[in-house]
Amino acid sequence: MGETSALELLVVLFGVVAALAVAAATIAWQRAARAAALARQEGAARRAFVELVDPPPAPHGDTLVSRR
Amino acid sequence: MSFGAALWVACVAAEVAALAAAVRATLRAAGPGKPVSRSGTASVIDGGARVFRAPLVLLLAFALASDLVIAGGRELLLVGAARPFAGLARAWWHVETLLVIAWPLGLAAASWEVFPLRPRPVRWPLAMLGAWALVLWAPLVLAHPVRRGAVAGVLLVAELAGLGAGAVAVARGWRYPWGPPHAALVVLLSIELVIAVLGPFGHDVFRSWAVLGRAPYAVGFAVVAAVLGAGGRRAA
Repeated sequence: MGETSALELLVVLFGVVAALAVAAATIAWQRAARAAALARQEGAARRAFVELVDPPPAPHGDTLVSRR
Repeated sequence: MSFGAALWVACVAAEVAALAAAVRATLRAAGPGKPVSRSGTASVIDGGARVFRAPLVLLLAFALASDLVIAGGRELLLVGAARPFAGLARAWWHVETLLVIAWPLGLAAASWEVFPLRPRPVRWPLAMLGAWALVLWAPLVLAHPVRRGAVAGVLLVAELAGLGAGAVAVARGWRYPWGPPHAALVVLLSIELVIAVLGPFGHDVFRSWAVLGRAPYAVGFAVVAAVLGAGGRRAA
């Protein structure tokens, strides 16, 4: 290993470790962001479904029952 | 074997492992297919066609071929040749420069093919990256011999262009599900960032970057092989 100094090798290895940490953080961040987006979508879909099968009463009691 | 030669062998071995893992992952993703003959010949041909169209496989094959060709050509034509290069040595030096420019731009092109799953992958950035490679390369050919600092500047511009285009591709694919090929490309882009920051293209602080520069690539390709292999085991 005569052609390289220990300091040079250390700097390069530090760079490689930093690069792998950046890659791992990017992948984890994307997974977390996507999971959150999916959860938001699922929540919105669930609310839409509930409103469809069990709609809230119209305001001021103006329902079919009250009109009768 | 010298330390530099050992690093080169480690780098090439990691490239072979990464390429094999990418081919396996592509064939696995293709599934068994629909054999139209009892021998299954059609599915084998179909799998082969998918492998040759897979951007990550093409990128890793280019990396391996490029490293082997550069090392062989340098040994045969450039070592001991008089400077400034002339004749065959000069022609080879231009080929080597084009291959060096092509790697970061190829990485960006593969990212543009892989990341934006929907809408359909776009093709115009590929043409732009190819044109950009020629724009950077042509002045080096026409103005030969150019001083070392100018070559380093051109290579740095190619690095930064590749990294920028790759980062845009990652951003475009941010909302879509990522698999092992996406993770592999993120690793390669991060390693390329280290090369651009520490490497000899801007201001070389290393006396022996030609040797040490192989270390990030060796580690990067080994991690890519592991990521693709682990993804396959999880899917199986």
